[in-house]
Amino acid sequence: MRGGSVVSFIKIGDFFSPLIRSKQADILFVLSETELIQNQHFARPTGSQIYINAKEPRKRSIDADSLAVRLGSPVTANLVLLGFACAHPDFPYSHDEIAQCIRKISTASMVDQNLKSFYEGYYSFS
Amino acid sequence: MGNEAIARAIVEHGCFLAASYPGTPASEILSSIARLKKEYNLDMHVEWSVNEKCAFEVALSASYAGYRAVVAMKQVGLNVALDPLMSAAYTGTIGGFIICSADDPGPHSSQTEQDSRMLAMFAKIPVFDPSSPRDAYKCILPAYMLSEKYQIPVMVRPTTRVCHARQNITTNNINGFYSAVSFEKNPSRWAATPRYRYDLHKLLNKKIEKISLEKKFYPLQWNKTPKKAHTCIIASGVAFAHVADIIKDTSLGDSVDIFKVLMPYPLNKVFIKTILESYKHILIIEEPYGIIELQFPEKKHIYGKSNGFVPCEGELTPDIIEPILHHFFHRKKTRRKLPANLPGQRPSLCPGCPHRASFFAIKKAFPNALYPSDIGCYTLGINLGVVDTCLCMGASINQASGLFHALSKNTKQQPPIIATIGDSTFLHSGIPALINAHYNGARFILVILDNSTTAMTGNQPTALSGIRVDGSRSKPLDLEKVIEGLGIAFLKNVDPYRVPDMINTLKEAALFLQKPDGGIAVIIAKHPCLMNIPKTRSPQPVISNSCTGCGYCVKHFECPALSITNGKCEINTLSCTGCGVCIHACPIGAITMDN
Ligand code: SF4
Ligand code: SF4
Repeated sequence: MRGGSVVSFIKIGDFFSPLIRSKQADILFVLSETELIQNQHFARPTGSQIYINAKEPRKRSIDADSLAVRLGSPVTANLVLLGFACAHPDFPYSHDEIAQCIRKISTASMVDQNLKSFYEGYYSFS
Repeated sequence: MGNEAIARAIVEHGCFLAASYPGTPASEILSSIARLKKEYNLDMHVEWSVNEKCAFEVALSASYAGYRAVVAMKQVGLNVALDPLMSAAYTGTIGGFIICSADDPGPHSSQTEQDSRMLAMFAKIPVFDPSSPRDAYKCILPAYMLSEKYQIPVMVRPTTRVCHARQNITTNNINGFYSAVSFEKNPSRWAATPRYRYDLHKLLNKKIEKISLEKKFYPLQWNKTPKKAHTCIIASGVAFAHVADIIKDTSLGDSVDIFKVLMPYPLNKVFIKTILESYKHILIIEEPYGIIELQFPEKKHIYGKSNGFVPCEGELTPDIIEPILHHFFHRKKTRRKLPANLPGQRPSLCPGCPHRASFFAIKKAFPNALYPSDIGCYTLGINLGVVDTCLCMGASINQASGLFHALSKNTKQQPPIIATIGDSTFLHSGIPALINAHYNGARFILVILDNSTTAMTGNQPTALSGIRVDGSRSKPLDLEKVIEGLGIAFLKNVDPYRVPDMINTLKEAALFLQKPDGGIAVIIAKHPCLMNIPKTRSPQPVISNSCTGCGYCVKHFECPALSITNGKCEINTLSCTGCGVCIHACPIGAITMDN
């Protein structure tokens, strides 16, 4: 089956619970624009960063789908979005740190493709 | 992942036999054990059983023979294995025996929100309720040791948020050494007659009494309060983790004692007494049922599910728990406005899914039939209007039978009944149902949607595939022979991608139902799940200019590769598999294959 809504939480640091409460998330990655309304309550009302994969330009948005398709791997749209986010000065991790991670956790055959997509997003930010 | 953590601990602590039937959120436990077996070249037995009852009895018998064993399933799978569970509590075990039953408060992907801990209590066996993947990893050894000390099955009950959460864990070595054991005959125990069962029950009651006094499982006080507190919170499972984070984040809870319960049943007797004597306000947070709460004989000071303070249904997310804590500490209700639960995107069958083709043919052939169905990806046939019921594993066939007998009284208007069931579900519990329906004279069409896998839970191979969980080969089960063996006179095999053939076969089957010597007609709609065949670039259909943009194909056929853009149908060439089934879907033939 395909196409249902998926929400994943990432907490970095010393926590017990795997879930995030409303108004507590620092960063939101929205991979499908239609999911934004459903989930934006998780973001902190002030100071949070919301990155959106969207066709029409809006605040902190990038058309990650089209870029990923152009790079020949539509499934890597998430990495395009991550790269784009990473280029923002207030993003907490540097592109080197993330790239290192990508090298570490990708399956061997996907490392180059994943890095390519990540940096495509990174350099799309201006 | 929590399931991998459980698997790792099970293998590290010398489990020899692991059996399971896939079911979310528990599926990865067994596949991870199988992966470790391969990686460390271990001489252990791992199997996907045909159903949970089989898995339970296979694993239990390894424990009878002295080996450590585990059976894993989702909570509703435990219902299927309830019969052996109840009896195994009486006979007891020899080698450590863990029943890992994963609950799904929410529910996210189950037909009920039942609490496996209740079934542990019902069977009178101890149950552990880990609050995180790390907790789950750590509780396996104590579970095996407890099982061996008292010769009793021990349940480990993770929930979805434990099974699927990821956390860093420091692991230990795997040595894979199993001491030789053997089955010692003892008929008064292993084959106890009712007279001996009385003695075994008495013994079981003694065991559970002793376990309820085990100091080792006395609930842990998690925080230190400077002064003596009159208020306490008792929590277990992932709900404990949510409570701990909220308390840490907020100024709540400076004057409250917080207890973490690893073993909710049997709840330590001394603990119950101490709590009732020491606190005036006691909040109990657990999910999905109130099992800890149930064991307090006196409820006057308790805030929990029994007085509606904590919701009795749905998942206890941090957003649900936070206002409960406020309410508890300030004794007044603070209603936090929860975001309205908008419908998210509904899932649909994959592009090119053979089930879509089958459903479409069924709808075309008999638009007004009754459609009992079953549990699997194909339950999504509900989007296409071809699934009327979905009760539990294997129910489609019995429901078709029941509907036939109920409606055949009304001789004038009997709509045809077309049941659908997947191959894995058919093997799980459809076979006895088919024997029953056939023998008792029901008449309906049964379509077995055979994609040769257990697709919904991650493509675990079935007995039809000829592959076992560890990759070794077995002789694939011959489904046709099985059905013929039951005495079914109408049996046809079709490829659902050939929609006209499928429609004709369905019509033929309907005629057979009417015949004086007719009966149940079985059609095997066989086409492999797309996840299991290598992607090839087959030619894709094109939309001709005659397309009126009516949207019929999107609405009633629902292939995710089709959409209406600017008043015309458009094919997403990236996700389209080129199955070509949609050419039958457009009522005016605007989708064609000849490009
Ligand atoms: S392809 Fe056919 S069914 Fe789909 S929108 Fe066009 S005319 Fe309607
Ligand atoms: S050929 Fe038609 S039905 Fe098959 S995947 Fe492509 S669009 Fe969907």
